[in-house]
Amino acid sequence: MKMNKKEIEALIHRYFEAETSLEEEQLLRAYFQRDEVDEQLKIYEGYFNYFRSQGEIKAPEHLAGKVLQTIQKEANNKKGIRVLRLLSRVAAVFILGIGLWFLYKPGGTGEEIKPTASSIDWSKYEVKSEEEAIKVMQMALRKTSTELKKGTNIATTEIHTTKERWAFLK
Amino acid sequence: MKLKTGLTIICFLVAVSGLMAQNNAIEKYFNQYIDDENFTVVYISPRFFNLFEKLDLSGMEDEEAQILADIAKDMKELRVLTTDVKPRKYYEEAKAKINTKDYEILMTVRSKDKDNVEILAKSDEYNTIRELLLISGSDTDFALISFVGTISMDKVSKLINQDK
Repeated sequence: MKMNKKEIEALIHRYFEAETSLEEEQLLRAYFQRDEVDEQLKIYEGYFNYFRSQGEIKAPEHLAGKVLQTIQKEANNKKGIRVLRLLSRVAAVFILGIGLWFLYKPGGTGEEIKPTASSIDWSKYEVKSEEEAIKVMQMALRKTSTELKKGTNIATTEIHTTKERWAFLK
Repeated sequence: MKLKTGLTIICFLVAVSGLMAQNNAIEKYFNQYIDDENFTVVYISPRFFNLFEKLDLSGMEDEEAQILADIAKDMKELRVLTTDVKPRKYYEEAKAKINTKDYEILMTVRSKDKDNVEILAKSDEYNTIRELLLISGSDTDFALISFVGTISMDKVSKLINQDK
């Protein structure tokens, strides 16, 4: 479609007002691709040809692969960040637990010595035979039983003695 | 998600194993004495506790023997730590170390001949004794006896009151 200078000027005016249709923009680009552009309109030639030349640039073939690689790398990094975040939460809970333990650790009767976690191999000290086990159990139970009874007997005797001492007050 | 669950399980297991490692006072407070050559250490594991029926408690009154056998039935572990080296020093040290928020003192006995005994209990939320600990110290020896298991306070009371 052959267009005169006035029509082109009107189209350029509408183009910069963003009123042109896609077909009209195509007409403008086609006009400026021609050899015989009006002298007064040559100032727009570079502008319209710039977009045309940019449109002809083709992406290198390996670019798509590179872009995919970059996206994958970023996704992996995000996964790593998620694991780090999770680990930092676990560490925070652990540190909080330790802090609470030291804050509320129970007090002893006197000199406080921190309880120590250990993994003692008790099998080294285990009795070797049933007879030995029975002997130790008997000894331990008898001792405990005797002491429990001794304690209550002393207490009972003391209460009786105290009552007798203060009986004259009645 | 799998990683999250795995980490949670690991944390839980570490916490539980930490607690399990200290279910008795000897391990918790006296572990530095265990390898000390001056101490005698004896341990009875749960596999021996089915022998309670074979306990020979002759010389005791029938009722007392019966109660003791009844207490032994619910026990799981027994640890004994004794020494005749500096017994008084170790008795005082042991008393100072025991955490009274964990262990309730059931009885303290100090006789005229300076034999000292302290009996402590660690209970759970249902008031069931989970560990009964006896600490005794005299001029001649020091002993720590730790019973771990389910020890009913009713049974212990019966033992105390049985010959009154």
